Amino acid sequence: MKKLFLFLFLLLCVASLPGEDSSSRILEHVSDGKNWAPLPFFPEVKLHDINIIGHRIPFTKHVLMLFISGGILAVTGIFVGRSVDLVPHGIASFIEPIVLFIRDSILVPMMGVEHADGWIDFFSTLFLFILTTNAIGLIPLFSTATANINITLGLAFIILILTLFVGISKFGPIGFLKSMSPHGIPKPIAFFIVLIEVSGLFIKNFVLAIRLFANMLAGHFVIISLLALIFIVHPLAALISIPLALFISLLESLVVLIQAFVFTLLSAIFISMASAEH
Amino acid sequence: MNEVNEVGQVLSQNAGKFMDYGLTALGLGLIALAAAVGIGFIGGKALEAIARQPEAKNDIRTLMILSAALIEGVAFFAAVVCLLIVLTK
Repeated sequence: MKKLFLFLFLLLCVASLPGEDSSSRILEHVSDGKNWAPLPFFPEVKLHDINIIGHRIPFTKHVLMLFISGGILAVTGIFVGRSVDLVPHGIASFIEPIVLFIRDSILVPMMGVEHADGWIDFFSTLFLFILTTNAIGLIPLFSTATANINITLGLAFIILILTLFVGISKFGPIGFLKSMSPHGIPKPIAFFIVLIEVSGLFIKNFVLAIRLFANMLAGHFVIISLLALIFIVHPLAALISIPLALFISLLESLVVLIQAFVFTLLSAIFISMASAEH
Repeated sequence: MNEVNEVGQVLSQNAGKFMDYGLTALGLGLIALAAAVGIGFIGGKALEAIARQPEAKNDIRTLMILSAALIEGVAFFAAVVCLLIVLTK
């Protein structure tokens, strides 16, 4: 029932599209821009760039969403930190199984029991941040920040830098390259294997970014295209469009969870592989 | 007879203009087919494994979802490259 109301709300948001050039305004809901249209018949919020000491920091809709999801996480963290107990109460009883799941299913198999506790901070932050930023996009007020290739490339860049940092701090820069080539293999083939491994390092992180970006973009694209069919084709198409958009949004809420988990798991795998001997 | 000739002429003159879009649509269909086959295979094998040993349900479920997400990643990557070719002519 709640999902149905959420969808009628989204329908109202799409209803503020003009009739003729709705195809250009379809993409406005998903892509970046300087305006934020929170509620259907309310005025748009215009966002301005930030000027500090002569440098211009652009401040767009997706950046605002990043700040909003960071704010939600910060407030949740404050409340969780207050109720640290053997048996958690309140919001901590929601966050604690998530962190324990990350530690037991992702960190302990990859990094071993003794190193897992040191990495919990980073990976639980990563998982909760990606989950929050993805999930916010399902609410009609907000927009999905991770449906922007720049933001996911930034996250994958962080993972790449962390991989290089862990590898180089354990082996040294030359030793890191040496750890990428297996031992006991003739020289010409080992050269190609090193080439493949180094390019694989960059390609794996890039595909990490593309996977998250494409999943989020495709989900929202399908929902918005289905709802915009009502205005492009005929209003009676609403009988088919709205249930389809409802089910695809239910699938989307599953995809949000899975993609956050897969991003965290793969980054844990890459970081643990960087500090592993061949 | 003249009308059929004219329609044939118009069609054959405009045939090359939308070849890009047609081939892209075909490519995207192939991507969807490949992804569906891969994920269906994984789902089937996971069900067989659970039927053999129901106690390993949770581990198998996690690995199945992970493998499905990885295969979908490949499919989406190919789809993004396809759309990139069409949209940035």
